[in-house]
Amino acid sequence: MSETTQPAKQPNTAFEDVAKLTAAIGLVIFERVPRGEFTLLSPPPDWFQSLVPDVLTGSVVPVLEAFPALDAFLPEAETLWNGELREAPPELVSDLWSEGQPSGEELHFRAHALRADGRNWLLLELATSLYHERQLVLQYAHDVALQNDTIVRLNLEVERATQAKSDFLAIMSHEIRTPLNAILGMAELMAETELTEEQRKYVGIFQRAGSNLLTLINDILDLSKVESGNLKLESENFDLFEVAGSAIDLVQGKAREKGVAVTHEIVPGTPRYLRGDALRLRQVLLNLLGNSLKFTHQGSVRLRVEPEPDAPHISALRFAIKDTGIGIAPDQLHKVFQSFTQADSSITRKYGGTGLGLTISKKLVEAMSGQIWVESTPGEGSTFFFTARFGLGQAPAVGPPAIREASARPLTAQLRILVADDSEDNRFLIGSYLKSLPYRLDFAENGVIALEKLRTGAYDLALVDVHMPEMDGYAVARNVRDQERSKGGKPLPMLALTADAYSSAIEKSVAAGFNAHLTKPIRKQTLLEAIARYAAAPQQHVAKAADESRSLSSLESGYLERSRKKAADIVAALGRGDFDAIRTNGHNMKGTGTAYGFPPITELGGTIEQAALAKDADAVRTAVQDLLAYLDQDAPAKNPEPEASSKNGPRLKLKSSLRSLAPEFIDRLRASDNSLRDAIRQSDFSALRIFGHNLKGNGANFGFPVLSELGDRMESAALRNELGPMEALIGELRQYLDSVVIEYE
Amino acid sequence: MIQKKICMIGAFGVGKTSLVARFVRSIFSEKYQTTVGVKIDKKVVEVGGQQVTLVLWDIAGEDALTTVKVSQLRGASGYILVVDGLRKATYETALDLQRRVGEAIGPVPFLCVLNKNDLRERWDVTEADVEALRQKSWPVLYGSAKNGEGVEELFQDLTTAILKVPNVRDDTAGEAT
Repeated sequence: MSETTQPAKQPNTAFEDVAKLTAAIGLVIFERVPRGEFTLLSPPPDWFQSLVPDVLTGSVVPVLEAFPALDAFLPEAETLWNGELREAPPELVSDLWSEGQPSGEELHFRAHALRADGRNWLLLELATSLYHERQLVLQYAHDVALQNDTIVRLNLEVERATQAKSDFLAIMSHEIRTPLNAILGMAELMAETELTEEQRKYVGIFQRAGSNLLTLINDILDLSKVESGNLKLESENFDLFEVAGSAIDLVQGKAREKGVAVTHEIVPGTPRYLRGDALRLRQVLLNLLGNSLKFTHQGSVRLRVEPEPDAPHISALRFAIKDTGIGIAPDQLHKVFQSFTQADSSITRKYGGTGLGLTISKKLVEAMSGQIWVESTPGEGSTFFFTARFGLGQAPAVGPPAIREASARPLTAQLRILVADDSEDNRFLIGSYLKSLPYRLDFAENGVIALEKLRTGAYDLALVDVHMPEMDGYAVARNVRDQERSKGGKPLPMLALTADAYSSAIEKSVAAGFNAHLTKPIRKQTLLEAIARYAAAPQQHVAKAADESRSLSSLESGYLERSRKKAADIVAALGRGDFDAIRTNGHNMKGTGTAYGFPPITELGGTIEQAALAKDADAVRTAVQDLLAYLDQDAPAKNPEPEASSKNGPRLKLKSSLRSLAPEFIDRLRASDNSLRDAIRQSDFSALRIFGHNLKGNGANFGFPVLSELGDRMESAALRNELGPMEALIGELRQYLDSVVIEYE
Repeated sequence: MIQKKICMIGAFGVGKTSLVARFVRSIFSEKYQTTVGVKIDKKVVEVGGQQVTLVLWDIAGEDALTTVKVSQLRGASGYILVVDGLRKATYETALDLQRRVGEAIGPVPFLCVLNKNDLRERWDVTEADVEALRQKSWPVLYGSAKNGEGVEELFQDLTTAILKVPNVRDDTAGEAT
């Protein structure tokens, strides 16, 4: 007990020793006496005096005022000193803090609150080294965090850029494919007409250049997909023998042309049924086989497949494509898998190609957890190797798939095919492709009509564009499949048509119930093969009949005529406020104008599409005026309409332009007589109401108020389901149409 | 003399310590040193003929490792939100901090300074971002601890704003003039 009072009564020498010690370890000691005061017990070192001047041992110090950073710590310390803590720790320690000195120097502190022998102590510790230690750790952590920030930001930028590139390429590929469809299609049709040798040569160049362009677009798109990480590998059961065999089959024709033997060998013990992406594997095989064949002028190209030596799994395979071609110089070997690089730039001139095939193959192989490499001796040949990992698959449980049943159809059968596409140009193209074949074609310009026709069950095959107004192709396919399921009918072979080349589009088609997916531009050969594969094998036809020859000018004028109709449709749609119809028509013209040699139509089509998207009626009106003016001026020998170019206000100008379309409008109305009669007979009020509604809008747009009024009355009568007045109104309409004389007729 | 507590708040590495060093001692160091805990500096300023001691609480920057403690904000008469124009993330942090500080200590005056204006051409924070702050009625200043741009105004303006607040809290017990 007596010892507790001892420290205060220490002899001077001992006190001085303690003072030296506390100063040396950077410590200042206060005793917290009641009334929240702190008495300085140790002698103040120099650094302390710079912060709290003029204090001596024994003086009361305004600690909080001198050290505001203790604002949070002191109340906490009070709970210890007051004995309010249930399990009192021997000491409380504050966070580190710093005090800036006027000199610029910084002092770093830590405070300790202690309770010992019934007395309360506050210690200020000069904690410089501890502070610096802590700072080093934090600084390191912050540096890492900063680097991480930068990496995240750069990654984001790269991702954005890659995405933008990918989007751009996807859009461009679509935009290029659409006109390319027309170019390749027309070139193919032209090749079937009677041509001079020189003309045939030119057409051949068209076709080859078009095909090369298409391959290039596909390659670029593929590469961009791989690079942007959009490539998703399938995991499905497949037959390795079939994949390897079909790849060999595909290059066989070219090989025969060159007199090069192409063979393949699958080493016994190689698993036949695997799980993986057969399509991508075949793509790699085709790229490598095609590449080897390109550089081989005599001898052979040989594909060998075997389990990967030393691999832990039997389903890890090694493929080797060995050729007897020109070979690659050792210093060029490392370059062959780089984009747009062929071993020697003179090769591009001599052999063609972009060198993208090998780059894509490398990426695909890497995606299949494999490696690709090449060994070569110049003058003797090259061997391309690649490895890939697959899962073990299952042999197909049942016989050939349902599609094969269809191909059992007699060869002589006259197939009935429905072509559903909202683009008149595409319908025309497909019609032209199939014209010389013994197929009975029927057309539908939207999904609703297509479905209605398909429900009759009168078709052997349907070609359906996936993007159509009213009802898209996917919905058509789903409806047909639903119906087949409920009625138990035989599945109708359905092929999807689209310009969208991404694999997601294919997935979507298959999910909707399509048997296959044809990507525009659709080559005649591809179309015929697809029809043969999915419906029946058509006989070979060499169509060279003279009646098939079509001059480009007749194509052009036909196109212009259709464009005029579209313009009229747009105006009519404008009357109904149907921006969807306007957008579809605009989109259509955008996609076809250039292909037919009328870039302004493409441009105006684009403007109309955009304006329709923005629901900007004025902008649509202006663009249609321009379009009509262009069509009036360009259409060869078609109703030259001098007033069309008159400089009246927009509305008047539109009307005057429209008047040139009035005869067509009247003709269409006259032609609708039969369908109106049918509608009356079947009491089809819905059709009558739509007719009336359209007549109301179009009548006004084309400058026939009488017709507009008739339309209004028909619409009302149809809404009330009144057949009698409807008949009377149709009579009136017929009378009016008979009497109308258009001065331009 | 009146004494006012002002807190420097922002993400780590935005330049809080450098702004204080520039303001208090007119120096700038390229060397980055992270602040551990709190750093206290004092400076006397004169606003409208009135002398005020600013007690500047330079609080360790907020990041994934460190969170600003409410206890460190207690009693502040105002605060300065510091944003590093080069790092958009620090802008987001400032938005979040302002909300949290407001909740903790109520609506005291504050200023937002977009620091590192000397490196404007490399900024990640855009004019639109700054405009968005102004739309929220934030007083925003451009500044540079490196060349001193905007630093005096920053503290002067905030002190002026603090003195305008009615019933000002004076940190100096019994010494208010």
